[in-house]
Amino acid sequence: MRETYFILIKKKAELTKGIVFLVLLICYSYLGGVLDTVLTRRFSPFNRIYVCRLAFFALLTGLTVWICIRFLCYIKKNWESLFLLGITPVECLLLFFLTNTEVLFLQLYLGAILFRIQGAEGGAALALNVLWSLLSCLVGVMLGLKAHTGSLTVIGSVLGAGLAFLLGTGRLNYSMVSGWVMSESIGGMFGENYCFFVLLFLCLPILWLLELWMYQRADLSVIADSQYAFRTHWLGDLFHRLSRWCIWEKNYIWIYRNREFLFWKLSAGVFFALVCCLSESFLAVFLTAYGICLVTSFYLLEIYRFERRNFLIYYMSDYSYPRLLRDEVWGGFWLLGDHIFLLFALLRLRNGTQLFYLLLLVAVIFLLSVFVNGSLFAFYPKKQCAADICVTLLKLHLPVVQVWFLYQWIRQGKRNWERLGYEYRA
Amino acid sequence: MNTGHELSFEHVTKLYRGTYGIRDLSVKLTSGEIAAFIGPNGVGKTTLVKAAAGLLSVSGGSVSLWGRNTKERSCRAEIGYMQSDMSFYEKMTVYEVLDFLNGVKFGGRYFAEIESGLYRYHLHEQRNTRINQLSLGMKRKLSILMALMGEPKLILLDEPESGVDTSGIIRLKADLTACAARGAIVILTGHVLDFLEKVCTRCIFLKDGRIVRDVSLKEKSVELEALYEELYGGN
Repeated sequence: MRETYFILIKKKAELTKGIVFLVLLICYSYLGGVLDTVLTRRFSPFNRIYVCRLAFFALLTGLTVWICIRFLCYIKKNWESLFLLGITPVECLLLFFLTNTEVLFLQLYLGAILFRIQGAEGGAALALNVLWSLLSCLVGVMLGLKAHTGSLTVIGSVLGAGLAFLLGTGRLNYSMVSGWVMSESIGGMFGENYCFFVLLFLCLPILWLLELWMYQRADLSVIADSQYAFRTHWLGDLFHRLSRWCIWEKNYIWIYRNREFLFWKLSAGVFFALVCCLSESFLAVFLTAYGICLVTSFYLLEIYRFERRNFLIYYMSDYSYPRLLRDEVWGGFWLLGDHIFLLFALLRLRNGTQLFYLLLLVAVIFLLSVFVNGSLFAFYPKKQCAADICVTLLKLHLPVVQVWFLYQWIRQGKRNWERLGYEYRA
Repeated sequence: MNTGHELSFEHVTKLYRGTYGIRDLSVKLTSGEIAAFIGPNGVGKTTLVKAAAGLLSVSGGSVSLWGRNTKERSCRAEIGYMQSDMSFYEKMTVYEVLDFLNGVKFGGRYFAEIESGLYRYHLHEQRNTRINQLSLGMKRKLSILMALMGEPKLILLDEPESGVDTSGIIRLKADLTACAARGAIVILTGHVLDFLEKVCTRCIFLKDGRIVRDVSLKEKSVELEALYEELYGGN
């Protein structure tokens, strides 16, 4: 299993992950403090705890969905080789968790911040957070194993319809939700009401065994071949029908058919909307939007990888470099900022005085798209990795010199495009 | 028919970490020719086709199409290329991929050809299917369709018959013959000698990155199998 693990992981990606984890751990107190201050300023102590608990439930739901999607991708990509290598189901699942550490890390990290704001005691809160997270991970994998049957769509639809019915008929209201969420203190689950904790602890091995049983029974080839249960192609199809622009349209279609991207867009959108609602200062909103776009710019690397893997259409054409770059920049611009623009327009443009800020945001996102695409396509179809994007983003923040870098990349890209200097290597 | 189109390999050498993929290879092909590069695995067939497509940085010599290096952008639109290790925009449908190719390569000029091509290769029913749901044979037919789209003057097909059904092969033979008749240069690689014998006008046998025999199939009847046995000794 050890050897297989080293084959499955990408060393550079793991290193990048490690650095990000370290930075986040160093910034833990600061981030927690900032969020605490914002919530304290905005809400009463009771509502502050209520918001934190709701956020924690949203986090758990997010983790479940994310794990489900990652697990499906993992099966799709690796199951044949794992099967041929004779890896047992237990090892397969362990390998999955070991190669997706970031999912659990983020859950634990954000969960710990939320618990801290609620004033929960350290050790107990952390233990509960870990237990809840493991439970969500196991449920996510189980859902993934059932996804090919379409049951997820059915479960999702039934849950959605049920929720709508309860809300519509008034059987579910604010005070009920508030009462339920606030009925028990976090620490109480370990103290007076320890039955809950024991129950949770018992659930884990049962779920683990159930998951193993499902894994052994599942036809992985069917899961790997299936288009997942979620039908989320309509957005991409809509753009395809509305527009006749070649490259950016195609990038839009492809990436919006990528569930992980959609999930990120939705999560980032919700987060941005929250910041817009909670914060009074434009700077905080602007920095959040910028941060989200910086993270999203890593998806431009995905697009580049997609382009270099499927380079043939470009090789067969005389598409000029300025046209290519223009289209990639245009596509990148929308992919980076579409949800931000929409939310910003909805939330901020109501008073009519924020147009300047919107224009500023547009300019910054456009520059980001030019910069990242310029650096990526300068060396087409050379292999590029996440570390290259990190370097590019660092260069972007170097004043004045950034312009020189951009100029060099565009010049290099044009020269390379006219007479390709790089070979495609898998 | 000779309109002066010419593909010329001049002393082409390709080194892969000290090992020769192609070694000082020179050959010229004129328009209307359907040539096959034949040989066992690893003799440099795919390398040669990639070099012709301009996808490869050769270590020595050059490949030119009417005097222009095939690595140059101006040559690319004239080339139709099907590679053996196919890569597609997997999340797009069959129709979307062809539509995209038509848009990028021809500015939308060959819109009508998409429909007729889909009918010809029996892919019309799958036109709204995503590529990752197609079978290997269907993917190969789509790849052929992409290479032949827009009447390219140089057609490069790397093992086109592999995995394709009988009706697809019949259609491919007819299409290649038609392409040659309008003056295109066609290069194939492959291992099914019966197919190559029926389609090609010229067979070039490779060994260790060099040409060991160049046979014209126009004038005399040549037994390719016997020749293959003779050259490679049942390899």
